[in-house]
Amino acid sequence: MEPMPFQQRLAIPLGVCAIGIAVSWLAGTPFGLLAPMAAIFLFARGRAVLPLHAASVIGLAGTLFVAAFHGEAAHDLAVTWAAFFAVALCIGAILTSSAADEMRAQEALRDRERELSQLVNLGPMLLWRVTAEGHATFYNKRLIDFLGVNVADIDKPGMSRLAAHIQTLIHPDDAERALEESLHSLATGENFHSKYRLRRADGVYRWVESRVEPIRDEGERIVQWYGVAFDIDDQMRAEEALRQAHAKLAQATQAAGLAELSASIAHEVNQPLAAIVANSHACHRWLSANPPNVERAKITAERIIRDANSAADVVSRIRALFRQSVEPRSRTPLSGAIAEASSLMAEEAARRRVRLEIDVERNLPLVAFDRVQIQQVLINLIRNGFDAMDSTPDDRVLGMRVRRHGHLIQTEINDRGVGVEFPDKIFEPFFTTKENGMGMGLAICRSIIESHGGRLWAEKNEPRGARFIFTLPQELKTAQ
Amino acid sequence: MTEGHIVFIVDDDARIREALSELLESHGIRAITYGSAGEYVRADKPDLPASLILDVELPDINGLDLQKQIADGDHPPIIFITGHGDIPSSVRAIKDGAVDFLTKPFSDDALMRAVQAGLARDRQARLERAELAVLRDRYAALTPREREVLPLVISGLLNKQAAAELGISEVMLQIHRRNVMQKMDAASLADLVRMAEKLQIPVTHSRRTGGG
Repeated sequence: MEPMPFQQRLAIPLGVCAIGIAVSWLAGTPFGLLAPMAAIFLFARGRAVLPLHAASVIGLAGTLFVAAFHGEAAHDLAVTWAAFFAVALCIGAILTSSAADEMRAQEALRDRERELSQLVNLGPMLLWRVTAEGHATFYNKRLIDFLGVNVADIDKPGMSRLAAHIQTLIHPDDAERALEESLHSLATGENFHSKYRLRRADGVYRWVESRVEPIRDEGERIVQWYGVAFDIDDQMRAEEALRQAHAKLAQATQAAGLAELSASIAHEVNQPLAAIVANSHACHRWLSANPPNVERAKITAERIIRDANSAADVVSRIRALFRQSVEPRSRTPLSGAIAEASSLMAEEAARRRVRLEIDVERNLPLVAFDRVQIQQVLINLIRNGFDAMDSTPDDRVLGMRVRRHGHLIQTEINDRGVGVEFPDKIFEPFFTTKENGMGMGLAICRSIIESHGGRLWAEKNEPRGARFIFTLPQELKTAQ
Repeated sequence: MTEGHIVFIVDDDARIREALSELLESHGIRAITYGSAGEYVRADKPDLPASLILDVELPDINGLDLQKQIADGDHPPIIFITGHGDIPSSVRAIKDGAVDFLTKPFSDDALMRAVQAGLARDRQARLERAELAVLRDRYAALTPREREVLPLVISGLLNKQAAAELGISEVMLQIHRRNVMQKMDAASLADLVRMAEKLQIPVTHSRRTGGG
């Protein structure tokens, strides 16, 4: 049992003492002295419950004893005493019970506090509190244990606590982003939700997922922010491993395609090279003849130039296929790329008397794509559509439609031209139906779309013409 | 140009056809070009000693398959050219009688050596074919009896034995024999044996068995 508060310890015995002395004086018997003795006893022990009752009972018993052995004369006085002790007993009982209630209440409060503190400090999460200005004011025990430092340990002169904390505790690669996002939340009052690497006491960075939300007063003013973070390092590592496996698989698949492609490319480059070598020998012979045949030599030299240019052309067109995109894929609406491509092609469309019909579904989700590459695909498909309608006398319409299909964003480019005779073969490298085509355009387009995790294929358009359709997967990750 | 000869070029790439015929022309060799195997097969070609430069990758049929198809007839020696030569194809081509198997781009020397070798081989083949044709004519001029005498003579039978074999007199056999030698224009018995070999006339009797 906890000791009682001091005032209570004092008040009850003093009260009992005062009553006892008053009664002793009135009665003129020494038994009243029992009261101060009891008071001293009570005070010394600091306990009020049983001893107070005991003291009153002893006093009452003593008085009754006096009444019994001092005859009639003392009887009336003893009754009066008994009454006084009974009153003292009642007062004591009342005081005791109210004190006990208070003690129980306090004890319950302490239990609750202990429970809360256990919850806050020992639950499997990292908790903290931040002022409306972003000033951290509390770390729970788990967080202190994790970081190896407490809230006030990281302060740096000339730097806000927020910046100092982020700089010290978050991985340098994530720190800038985390600070930006924090400042954004503080400025707008939006919830903060992010993933970053947090430095553990042993110096190891662990991925955590962190959420911080504001607490507002009645006036909707932010008073505090409460933050919680979970260690998701193992999960992140597993995801990363999975992602790498996927990337490797994709690379292997692409490499298999490239092996076929490179054989075709080697052939395509070899042809002009063989012609160049033969022409060079011929040229050399014409010049070495006696007399030199300069006319023939000139002709062969011109052919050498022509063939060399054609080889260079093949190489430069193919380079696009192998170029690793330097730009990281940005998550932007596809409609932007469609608009850009169609505005780039608007002039050509007008010149070739083609009407562009663009129909993009509203509120499309964002997709991650390489803007330049997707634009290359769009322009290639649009231009193919134009080419297909060259012999169409009128009603030259090129349609572009973007729709959402579950997790896919589907883009369709249709024309009213001659249609596609070989819907599968046209995607093979060096297959072409055009007089001057190299047969690389659609092969490259397909390779680009597949590298984005999508598909590209051709269908018949109704009532005539062709439809080229490609899909891009919608980003499944939630926005950070 | 010395005597007439010609090179046929079959390749689907116009640039290659043009460059190779230019190169051959700079070496003083006339070339005729064809864009496909079919075009080559159907074309009327001059009857001259020739080499055939044949691309392996053709639009209609593979050059190696064309080689098989024309193997039965008298065709000029083949020099294969290819963009990406693989060992099995080249081995197969050479086994089937190709002069060479060149991977593009190839040097002037390599091509010209192959072309000259092909022309030389074709000249030799033509000579042999012409000689055989003459022999056939001569053989056709023999009487039935003379054609019976010829295998017996080249088998090395004595006149007496051969006469007995045919049931005629030795004198008659000698007359037939002299006629055979004259008509076949053979300088000696050995010469006649060589001719019979070319004409693939079987030796029906050996002296030992025939003597019996």
